[in-house]
Amino acid sequence: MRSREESSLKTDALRYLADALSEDIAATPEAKILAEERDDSAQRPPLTLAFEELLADAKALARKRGSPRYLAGGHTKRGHGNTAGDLVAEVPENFSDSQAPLAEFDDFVGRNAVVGSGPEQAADSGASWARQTIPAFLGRLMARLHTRTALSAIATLLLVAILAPALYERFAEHPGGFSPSPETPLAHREELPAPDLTSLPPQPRTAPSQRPANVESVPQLPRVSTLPAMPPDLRLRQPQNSLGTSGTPSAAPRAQQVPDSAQSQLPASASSPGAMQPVDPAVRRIGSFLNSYDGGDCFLIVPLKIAEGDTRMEVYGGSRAPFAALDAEFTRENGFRAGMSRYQVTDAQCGAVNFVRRLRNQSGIARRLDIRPETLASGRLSGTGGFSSENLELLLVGADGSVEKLRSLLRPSGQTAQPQLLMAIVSDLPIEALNPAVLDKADTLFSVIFAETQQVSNMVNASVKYFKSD
Amino acid sequence: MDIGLSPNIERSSVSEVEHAVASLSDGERIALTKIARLYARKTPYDKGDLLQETFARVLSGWRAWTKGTDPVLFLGGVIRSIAWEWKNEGPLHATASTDLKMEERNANAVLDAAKIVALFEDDPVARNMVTAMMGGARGEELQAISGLGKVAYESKRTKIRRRIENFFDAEP
Repeated sequence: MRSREESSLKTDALRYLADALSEDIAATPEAKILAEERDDSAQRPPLTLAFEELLADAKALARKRGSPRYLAGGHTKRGHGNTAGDLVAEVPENFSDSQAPLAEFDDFVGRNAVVGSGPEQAADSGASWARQTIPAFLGRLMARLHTRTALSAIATLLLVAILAPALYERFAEHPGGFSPSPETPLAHREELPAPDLTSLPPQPRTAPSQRPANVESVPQLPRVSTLPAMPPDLRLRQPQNSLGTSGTPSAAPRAQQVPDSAQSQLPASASSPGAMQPVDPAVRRIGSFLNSYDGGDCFLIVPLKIAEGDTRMEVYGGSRAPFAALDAEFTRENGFRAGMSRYQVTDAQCGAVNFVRRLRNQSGIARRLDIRPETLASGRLSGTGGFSSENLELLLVGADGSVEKLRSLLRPSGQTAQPQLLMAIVSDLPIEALNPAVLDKADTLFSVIFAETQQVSNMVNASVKYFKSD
Repeated sequence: MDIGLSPNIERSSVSEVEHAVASLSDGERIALTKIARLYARKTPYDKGDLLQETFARVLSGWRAWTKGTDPVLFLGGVIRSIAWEWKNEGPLHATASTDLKMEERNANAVLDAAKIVALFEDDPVARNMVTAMMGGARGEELQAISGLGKVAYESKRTKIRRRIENFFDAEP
């Protein structure tokens, strides 16, 4: 065996080489770096795949540190050594990013809170928002107390005290079926026993940013049908085979149909409402992978089915390279290839794709919008959507980024096979940015909508569907 | 390449640093990731760990960013110094287990170095240059060792870098 000195010397050889190569990298023109990456990422995932997440983690870490004395104690590696207390302290600032704080809150106080969105929540966005947000407020309160910002904690507590009754009252009045009658999710949830967590596989403790948005089991609740009135030329039908609803066919063993969003609702079951089902580890793993996969700008994964050996999804992207990267990375991580419907959108449509992705990250609740392409030619659209709100807007995003409200749409445009995106946006309050008769282009419009809904705390949800018009 | 805390150096404020980090271009992000990947090979951690630690230190003000300094140069320097810290981490907390891991890591590094040199079996000039780089040769000294003119030398350096990067892609 080599002596330590000899080994160290050889290791330094790599350091010297790294020094030389990093100088070369720093001196390489950006255009060349980008061109090289384009070539290389055809064979492997893009190097900057999770850069945004990494930056967010670094910011949280920097905030948490703050003092040299802390730093002197050593650094923190990603995903290592977090305690419950650490995790609570890392609750993000964003209230609506309810997934992580809620999970931490559960860890901290042992409460059986519902996290994420299950199929039963597809028809109950407002109620699930309340279920998620109120505990999230409390989770945040605990976090703030933990970080000794007592004043802010008291303010948050007051906010919860004021808002909670109002929220429940509002849902009780909601015409869409949020009232806590014996058959509704809210009331039903009150009757649920705490799930037997010991029946679930052990959960690795990871930092919030690394945790899949939701791979927890949730009690299965009956679905509430609350479709709003449709425009005359548009017919949305109720889902025929959504999981998690009583009376729907059982899924194949170990298979999960998931709503739009990588935030998998696991597990779904056709068994009695409220039943607690252990999550298949493979489904959990795949869901976790899809949840945490970052394909970069203008990239969206819409899982359709999650099962070992049979996972299907729709993938939206601005170029082909991210599709190949996801394919390769998925295969490498999961040992089989997923069925991917790849939809390449135009640059001008990226605003719409990013909007849906941001909402997914924000709210943790999303819907799947199914459109039957065969109905397009007839000038009439038929599809499936699990939306429940008075404010439903259907928007058509053209290849040039132009956005139109869907009224009597889907007439042949005269253009050849143009990629179109159909967006369904549902919100608690009307969206003012959608009021004008002529809407902005996608890149501007969706940023404005996002900002507006954030500003006024308007619960919003969206789905997207790609098709080509002939 | 850490920037010192000399009072004569105009340091970027925290908000300026945040803005600079958030504004990194795609090319700069790729470059930094490549640099982190290079240095991570001699630590027990991966490139993501290195990058996160780098940004955390910069954003928390622990690494002063002199105004006007190129982000890749500056952040690359921070990456380098953290990698050096982490490489030395093992012996500082020496236990039988960490000692063994350290040995294993060093053995892997030696293996890596041998593999990298072997990549250039078909190109003696490049091989000489790589060996010289591993010995710490730089700039004019390295060019003199290569025996190449400026243009050919730069081209060869690019070839070396790309081949090593492809090797890292194949053996992450």
